[in-house]
Amino acid sequence: MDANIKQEQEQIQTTAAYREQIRTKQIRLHLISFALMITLTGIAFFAVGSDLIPKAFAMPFIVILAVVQVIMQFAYFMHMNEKGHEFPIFFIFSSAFTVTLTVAGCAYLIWW
Amino acid sequence: MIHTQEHGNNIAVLPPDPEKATQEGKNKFLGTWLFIGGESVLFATLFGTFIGLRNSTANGPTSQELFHLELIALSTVILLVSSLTSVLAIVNMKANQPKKMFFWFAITALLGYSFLTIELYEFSQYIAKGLTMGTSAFGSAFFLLVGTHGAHVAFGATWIVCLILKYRKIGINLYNAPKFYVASLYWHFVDVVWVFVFTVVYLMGVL
Repeated sequence: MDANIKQEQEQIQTTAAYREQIRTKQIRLHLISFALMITLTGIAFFAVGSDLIPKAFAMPFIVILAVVQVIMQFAYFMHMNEKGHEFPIFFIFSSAFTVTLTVAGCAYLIWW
Repeated sequence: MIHTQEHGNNIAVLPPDPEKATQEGKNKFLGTWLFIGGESVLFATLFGTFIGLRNSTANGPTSQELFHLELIALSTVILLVSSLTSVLAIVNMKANQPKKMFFWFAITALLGYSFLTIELYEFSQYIAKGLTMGTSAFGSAFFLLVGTHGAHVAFGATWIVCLILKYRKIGINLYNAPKFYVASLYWHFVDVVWVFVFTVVYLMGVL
């Protein structure tokens, strides 16, 4: 009986240590992706604020930075890189497709 | 029934992914992602309209005259940090550390409300300088797009505050874990929209 309880507690300890290990690792990963995202944001603001980069180049450049940052947000902060996200990936890809068409359609119709 | 409070070692009680351990949790997870997909299209219509109308200022103030990047940079940092704190809350939820989770969620909500305060101040400045919803097509499209995003921030922050108030003494269990997870997903989505708002509205507005 005592042996059983001891074994169970050891198991709990192992799980606890393992979970703690995962927690620390994940926090580190999230901090790294946060640092990357804030860098991307900084580059975008610098590109526009500093006047060093020509306007024609700056516009597509900041849009690409935004798209990269959003992909990181989805993949890491919203856990889409983890297992069991087949449906979310499908939803987000179809909504990205619809969003592209909608933005292009609305903007073009109004300009025209 | 899960008794997180009574158990000696909380960590062993919850499964590794408590938000997807029950059928209800799985449904909420899937439903939220579908909702986020739908919300994206709502914002797409507002973005498309704004891009079409951003130069239609009808002799009213233009975006170049109005926007100041310092304030926008500040609110961008605030929202991005709040996205980080809400993911830290979820990491602590999965490790079954309710105190740390509630702490990070509280910071998230606090940052959300500070973001809103800055946004309202900014709107009041624009109105004082003569840009309202009725001034020009640019004004209507701007306040509609940025205002809709602000309403989402207000809703998300209040949602998180409600979760904290309701569950702070109960802790994390299989019933409320999906609720925390889904609220955090929504909060990240609000930040995703903001990335496009600061790029398309503000940065392109001063170019």
